[in-house]
Amino acid sequence: MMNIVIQPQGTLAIYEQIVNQLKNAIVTGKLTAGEALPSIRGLAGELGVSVITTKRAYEELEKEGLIRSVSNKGFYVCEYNTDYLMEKQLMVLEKHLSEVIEEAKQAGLSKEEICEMIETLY
Amino acid sequence: MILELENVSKRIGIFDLEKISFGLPAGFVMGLVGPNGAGKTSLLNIILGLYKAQTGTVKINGMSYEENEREIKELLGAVLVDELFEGEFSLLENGNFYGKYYKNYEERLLLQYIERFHLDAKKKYKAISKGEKLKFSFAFALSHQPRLLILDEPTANFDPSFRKEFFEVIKEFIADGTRSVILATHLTDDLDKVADYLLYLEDGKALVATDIETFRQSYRMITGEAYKIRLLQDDVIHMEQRELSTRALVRHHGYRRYEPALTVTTPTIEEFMYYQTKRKKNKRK
Repeated sequence: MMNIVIQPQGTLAIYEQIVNQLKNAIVTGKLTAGEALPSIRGLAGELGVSVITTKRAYEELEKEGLIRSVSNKGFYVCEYNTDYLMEKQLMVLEKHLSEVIEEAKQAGLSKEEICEMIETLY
Repeated sequence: MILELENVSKRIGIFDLEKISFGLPAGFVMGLVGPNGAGKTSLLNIILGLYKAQTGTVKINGMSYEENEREIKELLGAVLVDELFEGEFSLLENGNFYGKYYKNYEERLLLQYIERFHLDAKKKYKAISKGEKLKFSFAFALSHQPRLLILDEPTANFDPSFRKEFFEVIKEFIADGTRSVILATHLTDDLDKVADYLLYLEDGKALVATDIETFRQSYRMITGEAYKIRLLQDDVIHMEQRELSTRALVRHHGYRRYEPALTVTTPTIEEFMYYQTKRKKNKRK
């Protein structure tokens, strides 16, 4: 089973932290299609968060079509095109990067200087 | 719904509980918070049927006190500030004595919890400490297997290790999704972790009555420069200006993006309570 780490005082809401980490686990193949997820109550107990919070996270993932609920049985990872998911993540990254580049331009940094910065931080 | 209140109002002396409405489904924990004198205990007394609401309806598992008082009492378990047990009786004697009033009381369960909470069943009730009395009261409430457990400030006299145990028991209690808990407390750290619903009372009014995720989505704590926070205008509930950093509680709207220079977090219940109370004091001045 995968690890979920919750930062109670993070800038991201707790349910978002759960959503993101489960998403990552699906994209990277730690969770595979057809695999059963822990129950809403089980996961809440495990993470020490409210039942409502894990419920919210699962609803979010269900809306995005990543998991589906089977009545009386729980939640399962969908048969999903991980390429498509990867694509989506890349799109998000691209968007963030263009914002960074825009800001860097405003600060008068050259392309080389930005690359250098990434090199150091990576 | 295990518990449903609709427009419940009650005047007690000069104090008013005003139009309280909320619902608590089976399988969840509701935190009841608010400053001293906000009406928490009065509200619990109404739910327990000790006070009668002047207007509005109280339904427990779909039943009302007017028609099904006996059935309702079977469904409720309570740990209250008042001591209801007999000082000269041992813990076990107390349990069996008061347990007679409940169909589902089981001595076996009481003994189990007494052991789990490190109490001595043979000790006289009057000879145990304040914290132990609360533990016993909790053990007794659990031993008659209620559907709705009502706890009024139980954790204040618990040591940290028992507080942890206490929340374990609460989680076990709601685990199968058929039973619920109302927990009134000032120790909100624990509520941040366990509460599914939040009812925040101030001066007899429910300022917040919603599930915890909606609550977290509706407010933000913002730290940064005061003039930048002021730009949020009416959404600022209360701002506390200090020399080095200014913090504010603001109403949040899903679409809003904040200026990157501001630090934005979701409020804990304690932060929410602190800033709400400050706002109220400011208004009075």
